[in-house]
Amino acid sequence: MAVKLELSIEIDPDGTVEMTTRGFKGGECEDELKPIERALGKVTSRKRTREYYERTKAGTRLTTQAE
Amino acid sequence: MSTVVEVNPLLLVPELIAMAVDDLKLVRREQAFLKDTQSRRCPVDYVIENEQGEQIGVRTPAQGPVEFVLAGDETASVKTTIDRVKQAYARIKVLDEVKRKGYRKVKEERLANGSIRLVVQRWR
Repeated sequence: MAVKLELSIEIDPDGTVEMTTRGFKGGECEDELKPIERALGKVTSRKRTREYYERTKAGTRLTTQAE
Repeated sequence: MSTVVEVNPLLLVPELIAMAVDDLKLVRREQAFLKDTQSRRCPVDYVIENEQGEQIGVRTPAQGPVEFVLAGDETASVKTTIDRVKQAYARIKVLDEVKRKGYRKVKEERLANGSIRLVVQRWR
C-alpha cells in the first residue's frame, strides 16, 4: 500500500528554515532530511517527536544515535 | 510528525541569489565596485538596490557563502532587504532540493508574520 510522505516547510522572514516531517517512522525522517539539510546550511536545532520512536513495520525498535 | 529541524541557510549558490533578487523584483546593477560613505571603492560582483534606493553589494568569495557589502551602516530597511533575499533564496533552494527527491508542492502560503509556508508531498 502506498504511503504518503509529507514535509511542511516554514521559511521565516530572516530566511531560517524549519522542516517538519509527516508519515515517516523511526529514523527514516532524518535520513530523508539529511541531504536537504546539507544543501541548505547549518542545522541549529532538531526535535524528535513521538512518532520517531515508534516501531518500524518489521517490529524492530530503532535506537537513536548520538549526533 | 516525526522530526522538526531548524536550519540556518548558507547562501552558497550565486546563481540562486540572483534568481532570488529577480523574484523579489529588486533592481540588480552590474557594477564592479560599491562606493562607501568614505568614498572608498569596495569590489563587488553586482549591486542590489532596494525600494528606498539603498545599495547593497553582493560578492562571491572563492570559498564560503556570498557576502553582502554595505555602503554605510546597516539601516533597518537594508537589513530587511537582506533578510528578504535570504528568504527568497531559501525558498528556491528548498524547492529545488525537495523536487530532486521526488516531492511536489501542494501548498504555498504567506503567513501573517511574513513567513512562507510550503507543503510538499510524495508517495512511497
